[in-house]
Amino acid sequence: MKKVIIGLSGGVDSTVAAFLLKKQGYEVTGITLKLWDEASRCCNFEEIMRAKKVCFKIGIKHYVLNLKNKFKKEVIDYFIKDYIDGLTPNPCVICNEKIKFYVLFKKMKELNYDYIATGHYAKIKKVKNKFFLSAAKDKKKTQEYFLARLDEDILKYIKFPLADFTKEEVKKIAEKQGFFIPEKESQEICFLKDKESPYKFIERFVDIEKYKGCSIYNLQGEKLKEIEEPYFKFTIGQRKGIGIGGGTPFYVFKIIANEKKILVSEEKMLYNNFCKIKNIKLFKNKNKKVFRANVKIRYLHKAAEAKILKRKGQELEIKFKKPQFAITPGQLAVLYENNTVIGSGFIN
Amino acid sequence: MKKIIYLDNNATTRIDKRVLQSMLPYLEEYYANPSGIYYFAQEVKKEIEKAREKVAKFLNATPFEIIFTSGGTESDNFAIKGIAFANREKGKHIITSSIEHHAVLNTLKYLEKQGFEITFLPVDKYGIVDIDALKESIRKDTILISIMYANNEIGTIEPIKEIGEIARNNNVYFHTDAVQAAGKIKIDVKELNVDLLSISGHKFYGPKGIGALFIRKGVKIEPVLHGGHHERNQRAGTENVAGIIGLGRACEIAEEDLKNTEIKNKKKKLKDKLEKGILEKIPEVIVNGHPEKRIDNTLNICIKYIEGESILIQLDFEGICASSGSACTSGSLEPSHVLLALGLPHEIAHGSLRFSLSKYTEEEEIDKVLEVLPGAVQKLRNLSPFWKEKKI
Repeated sequence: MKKVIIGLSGGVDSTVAAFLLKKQGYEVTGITLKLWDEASRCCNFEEIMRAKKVCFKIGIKHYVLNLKNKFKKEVIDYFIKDYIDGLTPNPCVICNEKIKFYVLFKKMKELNYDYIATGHYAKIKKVKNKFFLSAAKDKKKTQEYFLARLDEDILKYIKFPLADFTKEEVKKIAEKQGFFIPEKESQEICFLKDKESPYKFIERFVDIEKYKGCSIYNLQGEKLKEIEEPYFKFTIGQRKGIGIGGGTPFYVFKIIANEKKILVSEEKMLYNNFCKIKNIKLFKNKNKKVFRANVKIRYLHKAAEAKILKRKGQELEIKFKKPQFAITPGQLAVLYENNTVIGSGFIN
Repeated sequence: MKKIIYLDNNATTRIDKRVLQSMLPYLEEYYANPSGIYYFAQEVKKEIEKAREKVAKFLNATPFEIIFTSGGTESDNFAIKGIAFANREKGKHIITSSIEHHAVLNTLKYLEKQGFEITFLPVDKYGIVDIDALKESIRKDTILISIMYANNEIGTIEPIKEIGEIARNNNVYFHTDAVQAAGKIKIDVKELNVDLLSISGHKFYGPKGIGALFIRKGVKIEPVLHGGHHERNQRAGTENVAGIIGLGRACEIAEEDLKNTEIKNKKKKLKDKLEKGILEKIPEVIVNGHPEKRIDNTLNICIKYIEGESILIQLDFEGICASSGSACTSGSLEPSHVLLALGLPHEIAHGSLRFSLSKYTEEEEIDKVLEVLPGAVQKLRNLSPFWKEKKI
């Protein structure tokens, strides 16, 4: 019997994923990662106990691993640093690469298991003996964007039992099996407390006085306003909360961290057809100087056609066919061929 | 189910069959509430008092000095909060060690929030409390010293008699959490000069959910559970009759077992075999706790370059139950505050593993551990970057 380690959060998706694996005849062991303190939305006592109860019910072993230190170092510190540098981080992407899949993979090897699994909506595709990550059946829910940094040597050991299910179908299975289904599932960053903004979160970790106060300028270089709060309260493309009334609405165009400056503009100025990305991972077209791809510049973005150009050094240039709204530094740009991930990099 | 090899006896023990037998009538036939005035209740009450005598004899106390509780945690809470609240007019300073069980540590942290001042004494590399630091930290307003008899994680036995003398000379109450000592070493409250002492039934072949607190006659203490007039108004709540009877029997048996050199020698021999075997077969292992002043069933080791969690899961797959650090209710491991207090670096404390034996442990079980563990460690080390670095 092949053996699978599944990461269990206590939520409905990983629960059903574990159930499906067990039904398929695998020997399944559940692991819940304790990543953050109990005040936050994830990893609290209730969630962990829920994961444990699921395992009792399905009849599989369950272990909880404590990764609070590693999570702080790899994810929280990165999250804070990016905001302070004027970027918009994507902690889920980093957590999947550096924490979740890294740890599950490590445990798989240590415990002589054959595969790892999670309740993500994504698919592993095998093309000519190479493994790729691809979109799941549920196109509204598909999460391959968040997993895009996983390398092939991990991908080939991954099972995504929900690859061919829609969220509705998963809920139905859960209902039929009597698994817990929360009324509303949070899509927000797991370590923030209820309704806590990233800015309020960061305030708990840094000397906020150092960063307070920023000036808002328009693109003509005129100072429009001074505000008390730090520049990292804002994100590119933001319209609400700038507090400049009258006329056409203003959007955050650029954040200049070292000058504590926010540039604002009209909406149309935020459309751009060019960006550079760094920390590149390419799973295809490694030796091509130019190739075409569809590029997603944030999770909820519809992948847009683009030409990818390799320049000297470690960066890639992306030229979109049509201008895209609010290309945000710090976010991950994922390159697709059809629905398959062929590479990624962080927007400069 | 695979045969279970239970080497986590500092967490709990298998109930002694004689203890179980003694309890059964009180779960079935003799169900009267002992507070009743009818003879049916008196029969039950009589047995409770007999059990109290057995517990008292076990600790060399008088029956009046024994209060039944729900276990070690309640006994510790009762002792500490009870003394603190009854004596706060005298002072608000309490002394403890940095390696206490959470039942003591967190109770004191709670009191800290209530305005009490707590001194957490350092320990040496073996886990022995710094006596000079203790002497220096006693003040006029010190009302209580609470130091454990034997540590649950590393097994180190503290110099309780010496601390008791210091406490007495300074007119300060002294409580010891003897949960891990009871049944493993002789406890004599008179000789030790303790004023309060906690024990828990399930740590020495008794049932879970029952414990006792010894309160020396004359000690000024307030109850923490208020309600009916049970336990001489000291601890409200209908008595856990079967538990109390079981605890009494467990104390009786423990007293006999402590005198039984055969049982004592067997446990010691097996623990030594395990310790020696591990040190021979696995390089880079540290044994924690005091080399001699240690309860003889406990072996706590740090296996360098690997994580305790991974080893525990592998052992579990083989049916071997051991522990690492202290597990919280969700089962995730926090770095052990005890090992950190010994001065061990975080990454080494992370690879800790505790085996605790019982009188039921058999030689073949130890052999099985010695057969499984070295391979499991080697496998993890082969995957560990730190181990590879070290070899280069």
